[in-house]
Amino acid sequence: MFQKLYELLCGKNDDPTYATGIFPTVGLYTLIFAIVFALIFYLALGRWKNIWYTRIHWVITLILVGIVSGVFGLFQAKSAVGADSFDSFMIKFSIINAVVAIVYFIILSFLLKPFSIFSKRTPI
Amino acid sequence: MRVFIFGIGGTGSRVLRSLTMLLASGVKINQKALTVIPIVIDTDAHNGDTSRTRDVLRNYYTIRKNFVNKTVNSESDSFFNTEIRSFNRLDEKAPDSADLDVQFNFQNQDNTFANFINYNALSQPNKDMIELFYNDSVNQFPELHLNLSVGFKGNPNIGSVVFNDLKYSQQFKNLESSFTANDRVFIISSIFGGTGSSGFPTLVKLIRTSTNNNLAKTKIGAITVMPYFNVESNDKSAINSAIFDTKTKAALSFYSGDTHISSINSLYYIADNNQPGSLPNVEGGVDQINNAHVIELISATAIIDFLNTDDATLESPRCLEFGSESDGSPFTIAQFTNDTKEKYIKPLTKFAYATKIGTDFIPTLSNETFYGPKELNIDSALGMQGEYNKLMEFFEGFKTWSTTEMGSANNGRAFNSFNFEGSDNVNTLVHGKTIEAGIFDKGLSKKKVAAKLTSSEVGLPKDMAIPEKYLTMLYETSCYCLDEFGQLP
Repeated sequence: MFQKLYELLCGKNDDPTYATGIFPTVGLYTLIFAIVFALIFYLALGRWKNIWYTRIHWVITLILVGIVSGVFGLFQAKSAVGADSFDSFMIKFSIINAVVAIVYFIILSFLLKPFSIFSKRTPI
Repeated sequence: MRVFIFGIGGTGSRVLRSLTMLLASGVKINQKALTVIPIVIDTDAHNGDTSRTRDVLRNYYTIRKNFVNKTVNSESDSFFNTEIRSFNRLDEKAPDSADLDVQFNFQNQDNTFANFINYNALSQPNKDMIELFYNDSVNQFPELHLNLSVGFKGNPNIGSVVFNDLKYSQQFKNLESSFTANDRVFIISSIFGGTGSSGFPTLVKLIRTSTNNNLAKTKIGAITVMPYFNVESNDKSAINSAIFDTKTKAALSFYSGDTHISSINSLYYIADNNQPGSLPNVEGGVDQINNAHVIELISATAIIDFLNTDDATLESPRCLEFGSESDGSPFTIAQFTNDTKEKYIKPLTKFAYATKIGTDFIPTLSNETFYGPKELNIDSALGMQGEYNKLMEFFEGFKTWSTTEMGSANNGRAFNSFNFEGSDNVNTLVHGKTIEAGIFDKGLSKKKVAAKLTSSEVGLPKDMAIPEKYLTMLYETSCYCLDEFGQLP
C-alpha cells in the first residue's frame, strides 16, 4: 500500500531498496507518528487539561508531525541505501513524506476531535 | 404549594429583593411544586426601592423562563430553581405573561389624605374630631393634607386608614377568590415607618376576616423588621430615626393586643438598632433607594424557614428570632452559624462564583471549546441577546447588592461577604478565607476554571438547549469552585 502511494507521489526509484524496504517502513512509521501525535493531542492532553488545545497548538503539532516524519524519512532512506550524503530523490521523498504525515494528522484530527474535551472544536 | 409573599413599603421591597437573590442562588425549599407569588404593596408608586425590586423580580422571571428547564423546582440543584409567578396569572392554565406583574395597583396618585376620607363633606363636629388626630398644617409635616402619592411619610395613623381600602381592590378580590387550602401567605413589613407598620395589621385582618375560608384559615408567616438603620438628621424631613424606637414600642404594644396578629402561625422578629452610620434621608419617591442590608438578607431567610416548616409545626402560633454564632461589626460570613452557612451562605457563595465567572471570565475565554459558535456561541450571546443581557444585568446587580450595598459603612452594620476584584483567579472571592496559591499551584485560576467550564459543557446532553447548557455549566463550575474552596470561614 505504502509502496504504491510513494511511487505515485515521488515516482519510481531504480534502487529496489525503496520499493521493498524504505517505502513500506517509512510509510508505516509515518502513519504511526501521525496516530501517536493525534492521540496525544486529542485524547491524552485534550482530555486531561487545557494546556495544549488551541488552534495555534494544533498548527504547531501539525508542523512537528511533518518535521519528525520528513526527517525520519530522509535518514531512513539514506541509511537503507547506504549513501554518504542526501541525494535529490531522498530530499523529495522526505518532503512528500512530511506532507503525507500532515494529511494523516489532519484526517485523524477530524476523526478524534469528537472524543476530546478541550480540543473538541480544534482546529475548527 | 403557592405562597403569596406581600412586601409592604420600602423595607418589604428590599427584603423581597434579598429573597430574589437567595432564590436565584438556588436555595432549596422542601416543597416540590412551590410557586412564589411576590406582591409589592406601596402607595408610593414611584418609590426607588420598589421599582428596583420589581426590576430584579422581572429579570429573575425572564431568566428562569429562558435558562432553566421546566422540570426544575425548588428542590432541584440549579440556580433560579424556584418558580415565580405573577399574581395576575394565578390560574395555572393561563398563558404565561411576557412580563411579571408584582405591584398591586393600590396607589392613591395625587390624592391628599383629606380627600381620601372626604374631609370636606364631614360635619363640623367630625372635622373637629379628625383634627384632634391629624395635624392639619399644610406646610411642615402635614398629615391631613399629606399627598399620598409619596406614601405615608412615616405616619402609620394615616396608613392604617388608607390600607383598609385594600379589600376593595380588584387584585385583592382576585387573590381572595382563587386562594386554595394548599396556599400560604407571608408578610414582610417594617414597624418603624408608616407603610409597613400600618399595612401589616390591616392586611392580617383582611386575611383572617376573608369570606374565603381557605384564606381566612391559611398558614400565615410574617416578619416584623424593627429599626436596623439610621437616616441623616434633617429638620425638614418627616422621617426622624431618633423616634424609630418609640414608634416601634408603640406598634409592638398595639400588636400584642391584636387578636389577628396573635393568630399568625410564624411571626419572625428582627432588629439591629443603635448602630453607627446613616443613610440619606429621603421621604419617598424615586430617590428613596436605600442600600441593601444584611438584616434584609436575614429577613429573607425567614421566608425560606417558614416554607420549610411543615403544617403540623405551624398549627400553634410561634414567634422566632435569628441567632448568629457571634456578634461583629462589620459582620462576616464566619459569624453565621453552621446551619445558616449550609442553607443560605453556601448557595450564595456558589452564585458569587457564577457571577464572577459569568461576567469577568467567560467573555475572555474565546479559545475554550464551550465558547465557539458550534457550542454555546458566546460571541452571539447564546443566540438570545436580550435574555443574555438580563442575566448579565442580574449578575451585576448581585455584585452591587452583595458588596457595594451590604458592605457600606453607612448601613451601620456592614456585611463583608464577597470580593469580585481580581482578573485571573477567584482565590480571594470569599471574604475571610483565601485559597493559597504557589508557583506550581495557582489555586482557582482562570485557567483552572476554564477547564472545568469546558469539561462540564462538553459532558452535557447534546439535545439540551443552549441557554440551559450555559446556566448548568455555570452551576456545575460553581459547585466545583466551592468544593475546591472547602469549608466556609
